[in-house]
Formats: sequence, structure tokens, C-alpha cells
Amino acid sequence: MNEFTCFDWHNRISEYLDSALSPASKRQADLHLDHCQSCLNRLKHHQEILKTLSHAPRERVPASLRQNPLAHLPGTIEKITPLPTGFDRLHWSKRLLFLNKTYQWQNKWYLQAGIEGFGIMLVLLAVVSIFPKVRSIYEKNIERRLEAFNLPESDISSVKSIPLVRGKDTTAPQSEDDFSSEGEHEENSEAEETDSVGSPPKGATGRSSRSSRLGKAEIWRFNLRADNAKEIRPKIIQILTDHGVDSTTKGIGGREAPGGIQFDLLVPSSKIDKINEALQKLASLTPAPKTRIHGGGSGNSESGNSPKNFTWFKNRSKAALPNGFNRIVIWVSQL
Amino acid sequence: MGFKKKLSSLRANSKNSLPTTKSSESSSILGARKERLTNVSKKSTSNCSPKDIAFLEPFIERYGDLVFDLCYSILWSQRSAQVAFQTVFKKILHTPQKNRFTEFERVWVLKLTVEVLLPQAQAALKRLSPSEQVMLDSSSDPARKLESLSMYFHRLGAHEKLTILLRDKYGIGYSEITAVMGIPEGSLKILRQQGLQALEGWIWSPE
Repeated sequence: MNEFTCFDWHNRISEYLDSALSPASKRQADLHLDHCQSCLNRLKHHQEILKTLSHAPRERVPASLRQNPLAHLPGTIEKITPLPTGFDRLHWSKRLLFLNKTYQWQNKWYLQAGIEGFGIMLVLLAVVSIFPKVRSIYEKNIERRLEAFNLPESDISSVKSIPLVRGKDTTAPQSEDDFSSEGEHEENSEAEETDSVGSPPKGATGRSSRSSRLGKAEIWRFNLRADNAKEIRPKIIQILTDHGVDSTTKGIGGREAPGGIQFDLLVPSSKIDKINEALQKLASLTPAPKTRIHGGGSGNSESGNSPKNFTWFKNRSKAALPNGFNRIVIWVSQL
Repeated sequence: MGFKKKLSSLRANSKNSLPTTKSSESSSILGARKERLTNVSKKSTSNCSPKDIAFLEPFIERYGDLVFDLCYSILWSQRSAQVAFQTVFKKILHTPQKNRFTEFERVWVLKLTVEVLLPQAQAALKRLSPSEQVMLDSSSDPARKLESLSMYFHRLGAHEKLTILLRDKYGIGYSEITAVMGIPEGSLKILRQQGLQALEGWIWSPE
């Protein structure tokens, strides 16, 4: 039985060419070749290739290269440069002076390795010694940036001079809802605003409260939540003074009450919108407290879309207010 | 000032100890060194000692032609073959005594040769241009294609070329080739077979 298939022949042709097959395998291979023309052709082709290869002319070493095998070849880059004659007789320091990049270290590899290793060590030592200094400079730079980043406390002299009233202040304008909680809906605002609001601040039109005409007055209420009301207080005073409220206006200093600080004062009507914006901006900068805020805005009055820790609304009151002035009540509640 | 004094003393010593090639040049150390380098690079003189030449002579006599022909067959360039030839014999010269193989000398020499040739062969220093490739394949006569066998041979991979050359051109046994190339015998046979089949396919392409 002929065990040799074309697949077997394909895999073992190299052994057949080397005469490395066993006698039995060779007989079977020959039997296969008698029956398979393609395998026979393949064998013939391979034999022709091998014959051509083996009879190919062989290059011989050029005579010049045979005489001097390591001669410099013109045009090639001489990477290995010989040392000058008598180099070995020089003192070691002179030898080092002469050794440079042109003179390769092929004969003195230990010198090159030693010097390079020493150089690497020096570099490492330099890096290790410089690194702490660089780090300290970097840290100082970061500290300076942090200091510049932190919002400076308002150090207006007027803030220090404006006292924080504690408890009930008879001189300041009073209303029944002075200690109202934040975000409560003002339903009977009209009934509450019956008291006089005190003497008008300086810079008003000059009329006293008694001579002001009765009319529908507006009370703007702003509720702000903060972790520390006393930190917010100078910023609110700054906002009010920046928008035209005189620093001697009653109520500008605020009044401390359980749960926070309240500002109750009269401000020019034209400035209220800007004060509202400034307070909203202040509230957005102030981190919102973690507790959930309920309420915020009333149904009868206007309220605004503002940060979560800030609400505002406007009421109408029958209380008499000087012309051109509206009352604002800012409640800064502290958690 | 101390360094200048030292340098001048070195100059004086160097003039006494080292041979100068030309006396008309400047006395600076750098100038004299440049001068010597220029002279060395211009002349194709021997830059190894007679002792080195004497050491290499038997190797060149025994294996020089084999190494050179192998380099030329792989690199396909006289210039590259000469450079590779020199590199091989420089390696032989600089091999420490303990690493020299006296018993299997041919294997050692061929191993060094293969180490030098393989990176260069893979870099393909010389290739046929696309037009030459097309002309080579356009002919339909296998006899004519067989005459250009060397051109087809260069299409093969470096390992296939080396295997076929060492086995079929130089008649070196598989065991030696295994030691030279570091490839098992079975893999060598497969490489040889693949190379021969590829050559057959290019030359006797089916119509």
C-alpha cells in the first residue's frame, strides 16, 4: 500500500533531496513519484534550483583585504580609530588628556566604563541633592497662589466702625416679622407693616417720616443661609455701601438675633435690583449648607430664581416710607 | 595659571614621546592630534599590529572566502560585504582568549558572521526597484528566470537565505547550522523547504 500522498511528499521533499529518508520511505516516495506528475515536477524544480545554487560563482576575498584584513576602507566611517604610537608609554594623566571622542576606547574599555559610570553617579547625586530644593520652591509657589486665591476679607474701615447690634434695638426699624424664619411665606405682610420705619437715612430727599406721603411701599426680603453669618456680615455691608447706601444709615450694621443676623434698612429704590444681584452673587460664592432648604419664595410676591441658599421676595405694605426709598430686610441665617 | 603650566609641560613631553608626522604644523596638542588623524584616515595603511595580522592569517586562509561569499550572497554588495568581512574578523581579533572556540572553529566563525549579517540583511541594504521586479516576473520562460535566480533569492527572508546557502551551497550539516543560527533542526528544514517552494513558485509560476 502506498502510504505516500501528495501531502506527505510535500512535507518530506527536503529529506528526499538530502537522501535522509529510510529505505522503506524512499521506496514509497519513488512509487508515489511514478504516479504523481505534479510531485515529480516539483522534485525536478527543486533539484534544478539546488544545482544552480551550488554551481553559482563564489566571491573571493579581494587581494588587498586578504593582505590587510583590517585596513581602512576609503569612504567608510572609521568608527574605530587607532591610538597613536607610543601611547602606552605615556603617563596615565596624559593618556586621559589625549583620549577624546575621536579616539575610541576599543582598547581601554575599562577606562571608558569607569569614567561613564562615575559621570552617571555624579548626575544622580546632583539630581538627588537638587530635588528637595526644587520641591520646596514648588511648594512655596503653591502657597503663594493659595493665598492669592483666597478671597480677602473685606477690611473696609467702615465695617469695623459699624457696630453689630445685639438683641432688640429700639432705634432700628422694627417689625413683627423681624425674627421670621427663612423662606416663610408672607401672607399677611400688609397687616404687619404698620410701624414706622424710623428716621430716614442720610442722603434721602430731606423729608422727615412724618411729612412723607402715605402710599404703597415695597418691602424686599432677602434670606441667605450661611455657615457663619458673621463672616457674611461685612460682605453685605460692603455691598450696601457700594450701591449708594450711606454707612451711617440705621440698620446697616445688622442686628444679631437667635439664628443669625438681620439687616433692616431703607435704601433707594433704584439700587434694590443691583443689591439683589449682588446678594445673589454673594450667595452663589458662599458654600451652600448641607441641610435641605425648604420653601423659598412666596406666592403673592415676586421671587427670584437664585442659588439654593438664597431666596428673596417682595411685599407691599401700607407703611409710610419716604419717596424713592424702599425697605429691605436681609436675614442671614446661620445653621 | 596652574593648568596652563601643566598643559605646556604636557606639550613638551608629547613632542618627545610621540612621533610627529609633519613638523610644519602648530605646536598645539589639538593641532598635532588632528594632523595625525588626518594622515591615518587618508592612507589605507594597516592599523593593526603585525601580531594581529599574524593571528588572523590562518582564519582568513581557512574561512575568508567562505565568510566573504556568505556576506556577499546576503548583502548583495561588494562594499557591504567587505565591511561585514572586516567586522567579523575584528570580532575574532577582539574576542577574549577564553571565549575562542578552537574545537569548533568553523561554527564559531560562522556564528560571528551570522550575528553581523542578520541585522544588515533585515535592513535590506539593496533592493530591486519596482520596475526591475516587474521585469523579472514578466518573463514566462522558466529557463530565463532560473538564470536570474540570485534576484529571486534576494526576495527570501534572511533566515531562509542563510539556511539554503549554508546547507545547499556550502554543504554544512544541519547540526552545525543549528549551532550557527540557534534554530532547531526541524525548523531549519522547514525554512529550507519554504524557501525552495517560494523560489519554485516564482520561477515556475502556473500559467
